[in-house]
Amino acid sequence: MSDLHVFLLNGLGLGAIYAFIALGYTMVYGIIRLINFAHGEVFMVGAYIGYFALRGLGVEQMPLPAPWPVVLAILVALLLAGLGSGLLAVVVERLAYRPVRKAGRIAALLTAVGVSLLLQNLTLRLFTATPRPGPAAREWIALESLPATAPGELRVDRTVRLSDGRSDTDEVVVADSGVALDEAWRARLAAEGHQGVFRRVELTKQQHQLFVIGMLALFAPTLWWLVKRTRTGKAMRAVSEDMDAARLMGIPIDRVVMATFFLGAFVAGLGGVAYAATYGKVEPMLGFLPGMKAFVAAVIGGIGSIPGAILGGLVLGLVEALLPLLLMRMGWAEAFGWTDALAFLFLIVVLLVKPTGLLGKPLREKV
Amino acid sequence: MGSDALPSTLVLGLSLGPTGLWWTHLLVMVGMYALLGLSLNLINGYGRMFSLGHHGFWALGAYAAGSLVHHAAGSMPGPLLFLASVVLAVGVAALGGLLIGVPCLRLKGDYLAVATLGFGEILRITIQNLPEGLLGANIGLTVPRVLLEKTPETKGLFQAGWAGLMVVAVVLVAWLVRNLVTSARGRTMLAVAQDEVAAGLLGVDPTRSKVAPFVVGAALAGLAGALYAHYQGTIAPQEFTFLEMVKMLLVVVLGGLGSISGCILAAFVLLYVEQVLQLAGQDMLPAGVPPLPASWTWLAEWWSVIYALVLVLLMIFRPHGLLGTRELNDLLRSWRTRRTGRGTGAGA
Amino acid sequence: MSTPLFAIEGVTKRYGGLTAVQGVSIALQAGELVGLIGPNGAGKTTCFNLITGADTVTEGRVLWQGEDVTGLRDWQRARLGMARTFQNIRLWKDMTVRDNVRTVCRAAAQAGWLDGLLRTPRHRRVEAEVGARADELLERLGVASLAALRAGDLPYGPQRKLEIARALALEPRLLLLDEPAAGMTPSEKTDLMQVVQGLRRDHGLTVLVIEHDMRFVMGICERIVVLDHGELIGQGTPDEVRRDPRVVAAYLGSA
Repeated sequence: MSDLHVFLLNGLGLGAIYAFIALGYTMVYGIIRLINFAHGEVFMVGAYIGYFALRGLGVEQMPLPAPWPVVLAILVALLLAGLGSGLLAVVVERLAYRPVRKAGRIAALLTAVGVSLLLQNLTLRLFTATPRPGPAAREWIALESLPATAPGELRVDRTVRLSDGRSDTDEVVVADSGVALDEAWRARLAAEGHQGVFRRVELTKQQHQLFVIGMLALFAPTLWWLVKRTRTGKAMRAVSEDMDAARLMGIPIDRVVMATFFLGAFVAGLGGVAYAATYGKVEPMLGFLPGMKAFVAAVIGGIGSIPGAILGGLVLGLVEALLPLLLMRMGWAEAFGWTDALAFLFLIVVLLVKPTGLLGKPLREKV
Repeated sequence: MGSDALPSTLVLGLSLGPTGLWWTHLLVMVGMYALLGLSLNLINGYGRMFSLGHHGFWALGAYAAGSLVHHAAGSMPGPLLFLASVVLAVGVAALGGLLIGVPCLRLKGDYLAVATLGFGEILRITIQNLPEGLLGANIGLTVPRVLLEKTPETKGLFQAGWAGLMVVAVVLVAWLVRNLVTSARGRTMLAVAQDEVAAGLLGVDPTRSKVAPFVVGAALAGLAGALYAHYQGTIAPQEFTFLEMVKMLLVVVLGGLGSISGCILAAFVLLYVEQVLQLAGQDMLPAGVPPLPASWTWLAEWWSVIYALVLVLLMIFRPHGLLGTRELNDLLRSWRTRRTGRGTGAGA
Repeated sequence: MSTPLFAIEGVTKRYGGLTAVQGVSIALQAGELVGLIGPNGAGKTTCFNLITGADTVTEGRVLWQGEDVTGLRDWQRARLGMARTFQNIRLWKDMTVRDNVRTVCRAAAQAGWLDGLLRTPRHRRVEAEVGARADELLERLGVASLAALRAGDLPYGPQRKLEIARALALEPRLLLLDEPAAGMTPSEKTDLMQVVQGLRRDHGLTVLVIEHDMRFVMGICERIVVLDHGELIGQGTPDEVRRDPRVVAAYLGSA
C-alpha cells in the first residue's frame, strides 16, 4: 500500500493539470455554448512558449546553487506562456469564432476542430515533430570534484557546447542521459580539456506534481475572486446566464467574450508549462489527448460551472490514476492499457446518473 | 425536401463513370463517405441529435465483417460469405446503436456529443487492446478477399467492380433514407427533433422516435464499414479515429444538414480536393485530373495546414453547406425558373 | 352524478420553495366547455402541464374516466385522448402545415418503421388515409389553402388555427386550449368562438380553455373555474362567477 500515496499524488497532479485546461473549456462554453476544440492546442502553444521562454532566459546556463534566478525565470516563463496563450485565443475568437457564432452548434464545432487542426499542423511544420525535452536548470560540477559515480548515476549527453559563464573558452559536456560516466569517460573528458560537467537538476515528478497542485490551490481563489467580485467577472456571469438580457443592459458582449477566452487560455497556458515540466517533452500533438480528457473533465463536473471544472479535473485525474490500479489489484493485469477507455467510460457513467454533470445545473424547459 | 432527390442522385452516380485506377478508387472512397454522410445525416441532420461517435459504428461494422471473413474464409462460397459478413456487420452496428442510444439519448445537446465521442474512443481503444489473435490490435486485421482477388492483373476489374458496387450501395441507401424521412415514422422523428416537448404532448413517444433513427443510422454506418473492410483488405484501429468522424461531419455540413444529394456532392468535392492536394506536390496526378501549376509544389508539404484552413474558411462563409437543406433538383428547378421567368415560385 | 371524463384531485405543485398550485380539484363531465381564468401567475398553465403530464404533481391525483393516470407519461396520456395547444405556439416550424397535422394523426400508427423504409402497400394505404384526415381538418379550420407552406412562415392567426387542427388530429376526447385567442383581432376572436363551439358539437369534445379575454370566456363557456395564487377561489356559471366577490376582488374588478 505504500505506493498508494504515489498514485494519489499522480492522480491529483494530473487532475490539477486537467483542471487548468478544463477551466478554459467551461468558461467558454458557459458564455457562448461552444465546445472549443482548439483549446487543447492553446495548451500546447503555452507549453511551447514556456519552453522557448526558459531557453531564451538562459535557464540552462544558470548555475546552482542560487535558485532565485531559476525561480524567477520560471515565473516569467509562466507569465509569458499565459499571456501568449491568451493572446492566441483572443485572435482565434475574433477571426474564426465570432463569424460563426450565429451559424449553429455543429458549424461552430467544426470551426473549432478546423482551428485545432490548423494549429497542430502549423506547429508541426514550423517546429517539426521532434519532441523537445523541457529546459532544466543545471548544476555545475568540476571534473576533479566529480563524485565516484556508479554506472547510470551521472551520465553524458550528446555534446552541447555551452559557455559556463565563468570562462569563455571552456567547453563543457552536459551530463544528462546516455553513457555512464565511469573512469574511462572521465579520462577522456580530461584529455579533451573539459573542465567539468553540467548536471540536469530536475525536480522529481512528485515534486512537480506538488507544485502544480499548489499552483491550482493558489489560483482557484484568485479565479473565484475574479469571477465573483470584479466587474468583468460579473459581466461574464451575466452573459453566460442570458446573453440577450446582458446586451440590453449595455454589457459589451464582444469584449466580455474576448476577456473570457483570454482568461481561460491564460490558465491553460500555465497548465501547458506545468504539463511539459512534469511529463517531459514538448511536441505538436501535446494538446490532443489532454485536451480531450480535460474536456471530459469539464463535462463530468458540469460544463459551464467553474467549481465543476476544478472538481471534474481532479476527479478524472484520480480516476485515471487509481481505477486501473484497483482493477489490477483485483486481478486484471493489463488494466493500465485501458486507462483512456476507462476515463471515457467513467464519463458516460457519470452522465447517466447526472445528465448535466456533477455540479451542472439541470436544464428546465418551460412549456 | 427529399422526394426529388432520387433522380439527381442517380445522375450524379452514373456520370462519374470513367475508368482508370485513380478515378475508380476515388469513386469508391467517395461512395464510402457518401454512405457515412447519409447515415450520419439521419442522426445529426434530420434528427438534430449531436452524435460525435459515428465512427464507432463504422468500426463496429468493419470489424464484425472483417473478423467473420478472417476466421471463416474458405468455409463457404465467397459471395455467400460476403453477404453473411455484411448482414452481420449491419446487425452488430444496429445493436451497438441500440445499446448506446437507449441510455445516451436522454442526454441533451452537447452532453450527448461528449457521451457519443466517449463511446467512439472506447471502441477504438478496446480494439487496440484486445489480443492480437482476435482483432489484430494495432497491427491490423487482414480481411481475405472473397469476391475477387486483387492481383496486378485483376486490379482494373477489381476497382471498377467495386466502384460499381459502391454506386449501387449509395443509391440504395439514399433511397432508404429518403423513404424513411418522408414516411409517417419519419415525420414523428422530425417533429421530435424540432420540438420534443410538443411532440410528447401530442402522443409521440420521444424515446422511440430518437432511438430508431439512431439505430438505423448506426446500421447504415455498419454497412459502410463492412464494405470498407472488404475493399481495403486490412483494417486497423488507426483508421477509425476522431479525425474520420470530423470528415464525416464535414461531408454532412458541407452538403447541408438534411440534403441527400448535397451529401453525395460534398463527399465528392471533399475527397477529390483531399486526394488532389495530397498528390499534387508529388507530381503524381493521374491522367484526366486537371493539373495544378508547377510552382504549387509547396502545396503537398503544407496540404494539411491548407486543408484545416479551408475547413475553417468554409465554416465561416458557408456554414449551411453548399446547398443548404435543398436538394440538387430544387436548385436546378429554381435556376430554370429564374431563367425563363416562369414558374409558380413555390419551393426552393 | 356520472364519472367525470377527467379530474384532478387535491393537486399541488411545488418547485423548490415556490408553490405554483395548491390543493386544486377540477372535474369535467363529458361534453362540457369549461373556462379556466385567473390573473397571470395564478397557475393556469401549470395546471395544464400537470393534467397533460408535461410536469409531475408533487401531491394529488390525476384521473381519467375514474382511473388514476398520475403515473402515466405525457405521450401516454395524449394517446388516452387528451390534446392541447400551447400558450407560446409550438408548431414544428420547419415542417409544412399539412405535415404538422399528419404527424399527429392517429391512423399513422398503423404503419411501422419497416413499412416506411421499404414502401410497402400498407404504407401507401395508411398514407392515403392520414392525408385525407389531415386535409379534412385543415379544411375545417379554414387553413387548407396554406397546406404546402412551411408552418413557420404562416401569419399568427392561421398558426393558432393550425395548432388546433393539429390537436384535433389526435382524435381527442378532451381538448385543452391555452390562450387560443391571444393576439387575435376581435373579428378573429369571434370566428374562433364559433369554431370552438362547432368543434365541440361535431366531434363530441370536452373542452377546457385558458383565456384572458372575458368576452370570449363568458361567451362560450358553460362553467368557469377561477384560480388565484395557485388556489381555486371560485367556480360556477359565468353569471355566478361574475358576481362572486372573491373573484371580483382578485381578478375581474368591476367588469
